[in-house]
Amino acid sequence: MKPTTSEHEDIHGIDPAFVKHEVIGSIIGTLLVDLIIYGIGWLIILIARDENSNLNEGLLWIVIFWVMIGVTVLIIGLTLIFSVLYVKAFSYEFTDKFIIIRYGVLTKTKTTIPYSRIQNVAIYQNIRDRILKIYKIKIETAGSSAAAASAQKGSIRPEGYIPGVRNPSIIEEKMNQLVHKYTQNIPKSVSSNVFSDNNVVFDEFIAYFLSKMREKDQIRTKIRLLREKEGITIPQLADKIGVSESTIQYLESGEYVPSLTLAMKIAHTFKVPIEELFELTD
Amino acid sequence: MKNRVREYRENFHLSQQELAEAVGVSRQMISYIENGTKKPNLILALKIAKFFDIPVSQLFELDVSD
Repeated sequence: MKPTTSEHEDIHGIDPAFVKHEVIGSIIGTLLVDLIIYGIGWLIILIARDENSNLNEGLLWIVIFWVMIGVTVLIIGLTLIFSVLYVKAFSYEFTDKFIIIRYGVLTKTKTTIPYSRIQNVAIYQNIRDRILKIYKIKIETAGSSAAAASAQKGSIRPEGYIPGVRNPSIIEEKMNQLVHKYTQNIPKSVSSNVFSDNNVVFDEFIAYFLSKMREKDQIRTKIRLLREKEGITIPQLADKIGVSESTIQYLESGEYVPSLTLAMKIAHTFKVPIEELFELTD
Repeated sequence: MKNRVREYRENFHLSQQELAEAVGVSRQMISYIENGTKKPNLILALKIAKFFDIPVSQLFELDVSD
């Protein structure tokens, strides 16, 4: 069976040889599991012999034998069903701006990769792929600022992954052609602006979120110390300042960096300078 | 909130850019703070005060609007 190709929409499926690939993998996995079960059998017999119990060794081996068969059938069967469904669910599609990959049996995922963000298309084969003459394709992107940061640390995030490809050169060529179309003749400084999309906004949100999380490490607080010295409880302090009790609790544990206004109010309540209440850590 | 950031900065003969770099924010942020458009967060207030080597209370003061 050839990958289903429709001229109009350019949607492709993956090769059914992927099922064989997965089953071979699960057979190897099952052999290991069986070996472990076999080992457990020996272990039980060793322990039982030490305790001089009347263990029926023959019966034990029959049980172990059936457990091994059961596990083998279960793992290979499930792999077979799952990978058949996986092949059915997997599709990739070339639109004029994106490559869209849909996959997932239980969790359905749709990945949309703009050609402008594709950095590298990697084609590789493991030993099973080589036996079955299929290929895996990894589409690496590094367009957003977060991705660029991670790329600097040496790990380019692979966003697109297509297994079970019979003829990777066709995809490679197509993708190179489209990537080229979208990246040629654009000055570097402009390209980053042209292709800024919603993902960048998301990256900035994450960066903001992370910086908020790191804020608390920049500051040490002595609120609890001062409160206990004054001999007042958290509810009393909360009431005095006009915030909730949990705010005070978060402040005391250093989980929350207050606004300057709130910090000033607290300092005012304790009649101390802000510096005594909050200290920069560095 | 009243602030005397501009006063202190000018006393030290510093530009907004120089102060911004010293405390690790954008020049825009310093401008906002000086004009009272934005309130600095606690960390930034502490950093600015530390930079000028004065207490925060001399730099920022609560007023009726707070």
